[in-house]
Amino acid sequence: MKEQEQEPEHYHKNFVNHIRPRYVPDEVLSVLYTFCLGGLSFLAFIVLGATGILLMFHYLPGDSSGFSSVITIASVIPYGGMIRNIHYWAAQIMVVTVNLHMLRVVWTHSYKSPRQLNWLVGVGLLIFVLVLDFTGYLLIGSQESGAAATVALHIVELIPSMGMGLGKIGLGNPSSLSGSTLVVYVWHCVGLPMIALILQLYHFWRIRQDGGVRPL
Amino acid sequence: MARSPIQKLKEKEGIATLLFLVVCTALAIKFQPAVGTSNQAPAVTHAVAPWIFGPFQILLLYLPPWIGALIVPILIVAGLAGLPWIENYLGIKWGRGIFTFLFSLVVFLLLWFMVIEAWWN
Repeated sequence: MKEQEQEPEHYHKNFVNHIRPRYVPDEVLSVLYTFCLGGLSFLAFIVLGATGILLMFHYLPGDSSGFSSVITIASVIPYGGMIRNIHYWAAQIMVVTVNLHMLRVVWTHSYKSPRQLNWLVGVGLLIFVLVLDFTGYLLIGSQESGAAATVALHIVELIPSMGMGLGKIGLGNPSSLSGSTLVVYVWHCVGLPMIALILQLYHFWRIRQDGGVRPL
Repeated sequence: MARSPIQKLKEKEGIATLLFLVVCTALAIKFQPAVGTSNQAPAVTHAVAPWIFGPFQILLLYLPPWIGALIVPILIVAGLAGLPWIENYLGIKWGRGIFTFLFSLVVFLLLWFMVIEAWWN
């Protein structure tokens, strides 16, 4: 049923109503309009949050406890392996959908005025997704994650004058044999997802504020 | 502009959610992600980055760290973030060209990484 009626003016001042209005343009109901890549990325984020919370019940960050708790989750805890696998695959899919979403935005020139600010937010979210993926990799606590943490720490320390401090704030004190630290754990489970969630909600709000999505 | 109730969008989102969960679960059942090497085991001599950070590993292999790990990534991010303004000042062709170059560079490095890891090691 097509609806043409207008919502009252105050209706759009409500944040939720603004993101989820009662009526949407017919075009956005088509899958091919934008291939739903932004929506799929957000869906992956929700799945990652849900499975991540379940993993937090049994994960213990730390030099030796990180790796052993991952093994326990994967092989001892009922459905633990399944939840970890879904967490892993949702993260891989999210990296792919976010990149394809960016390609779609560039293809349709959707970064142009008045959408420059939302483009910047999107680039920021892309970086957040990559950092979340990296911190997740460090939390495995394997030797490979220790090597990655050591390399990352050395890279951050290349930044003049504040590199050492940033390294401690971002990674803590990882050993070369395990990247799992309490600092990385808190960033991965609380700090980064919270900032990413706020940025995503702002991203959605701005899409409607800037006049909706542009099709292919 | 013709509009429909959001209920229609919610139905499509529900179907997409189900499909996404099915694909995710199928991948999770079929392919077990690696856990790597225990830190109690003898030290490994060759640590491979996850595919997402493959381009980074290639840059670090062949360039000095401050160029490969700082300057090149900063230039890529700056090129991406500044795309709307680059197009404003230099024109659409330049903007498209710079974006295509940066994206192709990352894809090229990713393919390079995959070829090295899959065939040589």
